[in-house]
Amino acid sequence: VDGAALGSFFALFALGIALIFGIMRLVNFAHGELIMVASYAIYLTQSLWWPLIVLTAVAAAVAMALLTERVAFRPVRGASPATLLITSFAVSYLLQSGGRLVFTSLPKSADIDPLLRESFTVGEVFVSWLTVITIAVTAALLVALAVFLRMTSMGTRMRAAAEDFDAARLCAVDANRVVAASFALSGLLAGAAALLVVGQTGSLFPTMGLTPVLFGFTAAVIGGMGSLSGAVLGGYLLGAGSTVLTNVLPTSVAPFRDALLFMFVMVVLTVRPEGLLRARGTVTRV
Amino acid sequence: MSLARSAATPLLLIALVALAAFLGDQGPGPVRSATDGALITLVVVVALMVFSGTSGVFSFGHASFMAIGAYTAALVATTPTYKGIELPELPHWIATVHVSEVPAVLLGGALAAAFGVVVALPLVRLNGLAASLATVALLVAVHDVAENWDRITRGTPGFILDAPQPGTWRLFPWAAGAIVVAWIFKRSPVGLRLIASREDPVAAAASGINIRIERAIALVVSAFLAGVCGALFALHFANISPLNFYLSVTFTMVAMLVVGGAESVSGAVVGVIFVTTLLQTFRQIEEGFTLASVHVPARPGLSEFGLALGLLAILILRPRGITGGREVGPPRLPRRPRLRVRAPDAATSSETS
Repeated sequence: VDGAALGSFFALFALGIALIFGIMRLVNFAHGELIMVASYAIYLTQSLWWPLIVLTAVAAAVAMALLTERVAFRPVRGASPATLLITSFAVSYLLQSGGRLVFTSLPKSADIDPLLRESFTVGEVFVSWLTVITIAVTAALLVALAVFLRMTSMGTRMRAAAEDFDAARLCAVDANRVVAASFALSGLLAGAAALLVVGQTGSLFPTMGLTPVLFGFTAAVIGGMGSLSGAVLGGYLLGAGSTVLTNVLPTSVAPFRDALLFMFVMVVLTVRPEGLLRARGTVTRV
Repeated sequence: MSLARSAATPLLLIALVALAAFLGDQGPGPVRSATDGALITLVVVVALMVFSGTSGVFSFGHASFMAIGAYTAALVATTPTYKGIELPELPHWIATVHVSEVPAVLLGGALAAAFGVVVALPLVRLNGLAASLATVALLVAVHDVAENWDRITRGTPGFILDAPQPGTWRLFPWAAGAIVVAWIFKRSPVGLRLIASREDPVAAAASGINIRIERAIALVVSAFLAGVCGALFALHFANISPLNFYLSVTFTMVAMLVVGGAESVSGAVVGVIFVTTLLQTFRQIEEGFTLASVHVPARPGLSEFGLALGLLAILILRPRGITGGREVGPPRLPRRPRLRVRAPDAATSSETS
């Protein structure tokens, strides 16, 4: 059950990254900072009724995603992937230090609902409500995202742009709107992720986006950059893998779990750069 | 290009660094320590230029080479008695070794270079984005090892050295040396072949360039320089922890190189000087000051904010950096005016080329 919950987290993070990568070939390291921004929105509104908290968190992440897209990523769109990567690092660093400027680097605490921390037992297994909610919310978001991409016209346009951006533009797909929509969606995912992260840890600080983004990135690479189902699969594999590793590894090696995971990422990149599920349109031919 | 002409650029750059170091050395304490820090950072930014500037593959993993150089130098330069107190579980052969500054730094570079050979095996098989992502994974993996390998690195709290600390003018030769190495590398056959592969990988491969081997060589040279930088960092600040070699320093060095212009040694040097000046200015503001009886309160985080903003502005407005890939050098002699016998269109095309 822990593996499934952890996997849900990773899948959520990975989806936000893969969504944008699919369309723009941009690995958005600032995705973690969207989670950070949403978390501070939760912190500021924590005394309110919980649907309002959810609403502001998601709205803040979506607004910040759109803002970074408009201000930073649109002017460099079409530049080399390395430039895009550096840009996303710059945005990530900018938001992080902005967070420090406004809220200082001291951790703050937020409590969404005490219910989240309670747990119940099913037979022998302790299950916290948060685990249930995490899995349920992720599943709901996945279904909603799939429906959006298949059933709506914007979803179709986004899938077309992910497959071949230029050809999609030739077919009268408005590039700016598609990219903005994908950023908005990734903001929505970041907002949801922030709610779950804050619900779980209860503490927030300016660099809190780092861990999610690193693991989301790992999951996306394992699953296949740009492939959404790959990102989800990678997320759950990573969750299961790290839970298993924590329990299986001897204590002398256990602290190096993350090092092993990231070495595994390098191996995946080398052996199978397209990941487990290859996304269409990501293979460059000469 | 004659020898005198091709030596002019590194000499000018070294003179520029010397001037900046001299000016910084006159300043108050914080400025002096920023100057020393810049001299050390210069080595890694130049190292980054050697790999990323020539090959076009951006690396975010150079801080891990720094970490290896730093921990190596720290372990061999600290006195055995002191090591006995700080790291009692150290293997015997490390615990007893004790060398002075120069061999410690070179050893740091050598070990980082050896690690570079290992890393090169997977890394050179990758292109563009996948390679950059692999370096991110490398950075995280090495950081995690440094944080958890308590027996050798003392983990998160870090490690304090008792070795003589090199001052500004003992750091300067290393910085100058790095500039010379980078310049020679860029002008070498390997460097030129890599630049060709950066401009057009397909055409370069078709001309018989084995990109993987050239990139591997560049990575090893670059890792050596980064290791030297890490070793200098360890000796100079006499206190290292895994966080010194993680995202913050990675971001700073990438920002310096991109701001200056990644494709030239001059870009690396200009970037370091420019960004250091900028950061130092922001830091003054950050600490708060009183100007004409108006007190500006302290604002922690402002310098990083300013740096990120500056980097974004450069990326958007001048993506090839301040130098735009050019090198500083003596002005080219004006060509002798030619007789105007050619057709006007041929003359215009030769001027634009």
